[in-house]
Amino acid sequence: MAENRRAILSALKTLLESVTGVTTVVRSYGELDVAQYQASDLPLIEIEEPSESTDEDSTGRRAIMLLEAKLKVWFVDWNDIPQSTYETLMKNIRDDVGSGFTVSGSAVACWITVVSPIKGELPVFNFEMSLRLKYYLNQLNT
Amino acid sequence: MATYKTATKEAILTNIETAINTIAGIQFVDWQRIYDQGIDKTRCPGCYINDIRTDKTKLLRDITKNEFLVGIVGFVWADEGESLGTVLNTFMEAIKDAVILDRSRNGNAYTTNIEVIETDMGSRHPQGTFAMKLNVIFFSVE
Repeated sequence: MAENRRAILSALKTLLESVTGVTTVVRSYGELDVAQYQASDLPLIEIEEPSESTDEDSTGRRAIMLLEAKLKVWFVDWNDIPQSTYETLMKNIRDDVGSGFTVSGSAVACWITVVSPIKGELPVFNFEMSLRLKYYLNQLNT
Repeated sequence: MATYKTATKEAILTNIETAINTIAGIQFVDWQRIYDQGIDKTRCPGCYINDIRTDKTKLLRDITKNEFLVGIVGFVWADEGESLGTVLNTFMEAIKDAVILDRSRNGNAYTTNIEVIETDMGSRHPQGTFAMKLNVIFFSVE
């Protein structure tokens, strides 16, 4: 299925919104000011605007695009060691991205590569997940 | 693993007052005064608890980190034959032990640290005074 950047990121946002325990998903085009959100808005996944390139492995006539996105996951935890929340969120996101490998049929592939350790300070923590997403380019000018 | 919560300045100050009031032999505790003029011998040893300054860092719209500077002005009276330095030191030690016995301020604060203790070096014998600054870190909704 041919897609464009806008549609594929929209589908990714929808996929992430269905992750158990995640309350908010936003796309960010600069540095997200998390202080603008309330505790009840978290856990929040921030989809940082991804880099885009053509996939070098593409052998067919149709262009396959590669998006490399970074997800920043913000959460509130009143424990000084928030390992449990971190692991649960990470697992839920990994599971849903894994089972939604084609991002509702819009992508060729979508997988998570690197996950960062926990950052931030009590009670607002975050961690990052790198995500690679391949899709057939829709040649229409959208 | 410790768990924390949000609190108010008043809860912190009340807890400090409660902690100081447990000191054996203490005669007087009050809030928000600086000078010990007018304090007679019957109110010694005693102290004032002062709210000096709060530095706020907004973490979320409804979670703020507070670095709360609390000043304790303590005063003692040395009877004839007593060493003012010893009386002053004994009371300072008692205050110090009382305020750091529970650094969490009954679960209201992240931590409590004593920043500095200064004395008047016995310049107004038989009355002695000291000032202690506490840095209390706590979280609030505003």
